[in-house]
This record gives sequence, C-alpha cells and structure tokens, in this order.
Amino acid sequence: MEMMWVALGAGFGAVCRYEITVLGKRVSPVLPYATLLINVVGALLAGFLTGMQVQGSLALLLLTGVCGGFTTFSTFSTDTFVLIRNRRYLVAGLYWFGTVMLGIAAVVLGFRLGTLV
Amino acid sequence: MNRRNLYKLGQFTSIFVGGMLGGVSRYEVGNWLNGVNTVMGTTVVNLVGCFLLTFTIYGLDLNIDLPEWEILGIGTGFVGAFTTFSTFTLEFVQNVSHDPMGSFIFLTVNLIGGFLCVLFGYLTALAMERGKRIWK
Repeated sequence: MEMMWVALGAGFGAVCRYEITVLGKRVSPVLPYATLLINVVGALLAGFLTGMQVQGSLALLLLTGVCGGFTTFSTFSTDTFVLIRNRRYLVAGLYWFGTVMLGIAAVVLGFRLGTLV
Repeated sequence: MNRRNLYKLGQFTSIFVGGMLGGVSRYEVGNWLNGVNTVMGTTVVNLVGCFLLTFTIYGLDLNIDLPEWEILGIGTGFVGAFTTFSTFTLEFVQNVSHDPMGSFIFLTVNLIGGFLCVLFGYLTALAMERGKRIWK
C-alpha cells in the first residue's frame, strides 16, 4: 500500500516534468531553463510540505512521490555535462552553482511558509 | 482518437509507468539503506541515476535502435524519478545546523560524484560503441 502512494505520485511528477521540459525546449533549445525551474519549484514544495509536517500516506504521495518524481538530479548533472561539452563553461558553472543555491533557498523559504499554515 | 493524440498518450503512459517504477525503486533503496544513514539512500540513487542517464541517452540510443517511447520511459520516466533534487536539498537543509561537516560532505559527494558518474556513463557508452565496431 505504501508503495502505491509513492508510485502514483512519482508517475504524476514525472509526466509533469516531461511536459514542462517540452515547453522549455521551445523557449530555448540549448539552455536548461525547464530543469532549473522544475528543481527549484520542487524544492520549494518539499520544504513547504515538511514545514507543514505532512505525514503518513500523504507524505509518501506528495513528498516522496510527487516532489521526488518531479525533481531530478540526473538531468541536472547531465545538463551541466552537455553545457561543458558544448564549451559553454560560464553558463555551465552558473547553472550548476545557481541550481544548488536556489534549491537550498527554496527549501528554506518553503519550510518557513509551511510552518505559517 | 486521431494519430497525434494516440502518440501523445503512448508517451504519457511510458513516462508515467517509468516514473512509478523509478519512484518505488528510490523508496526501496531508501528503506534498505536507512539503517545506515538517511542521506545514504539519496546519495546512492543520485549517483547510480547519473550514470544510468548518460548511459541510456548515449548508449542505448546509439547502440540499440530503441523506439522513442522506450527511451522516454527509461530516461525521463524511470531514471528521472529515481533520482531526486528535492530530497537532496531538503536533507541538506535539515542536517546542516546540527551536522555542518557531514552535510557539506553530502553536498560535495552528490554534486562532484554525480558529475563524475555522468561522465563515466558517457564514456562507458562510447566504449561499448567502439567495442561493437571492433567485433564486426
């Protein structure tokens, strides 16, 4: 039963991530704006849910499932690799560092907002 | 239903199913390693996933002629949902005040290690491609 909540959330998260990535490719075929947005929004949501102290099946569905399936560490690392391979070193560095910094800030902000609710 | 919608539905289904499997695998790896350390599960899924993603994109795509929906299902669905950025940042923030040293090690291992695993996945895919040419 536990697994079903995680599975449903992660499946839904993955489809949302794909849709946003497709839209992002239209904005810029080279720069990974979509992955940046996905990871920061997902981190914000994860912080928010933790601040709200969501537990049990709801946490499995939304936190482990949706947030985990929506955000992606592998695409983030691969995006950086592709940028370096295309010799866009500055953009690669900014993207790499920027995603982590914004992600951490988003978790903190989300957590604060979550405790207010 | 017209052809385009049917195609879209196929893409969605493979990403959804891949995502379900990826999420459950992440959850299971977490349960399995949680006895050791909570950040251990996240680190393992992220590093393994980084290797798998470039290996899938460059390896499977170039070496075996898989249809697009399978690449989407494995790469975007399974591997994308297997790895996680939200839990990674969340665990860092939760642990940094009481264990700053451990948290920065966790951050560095994921970031540098993830990048090296991406590179390793890419090189493995290239080596496979070369190996196949020699065999022919």
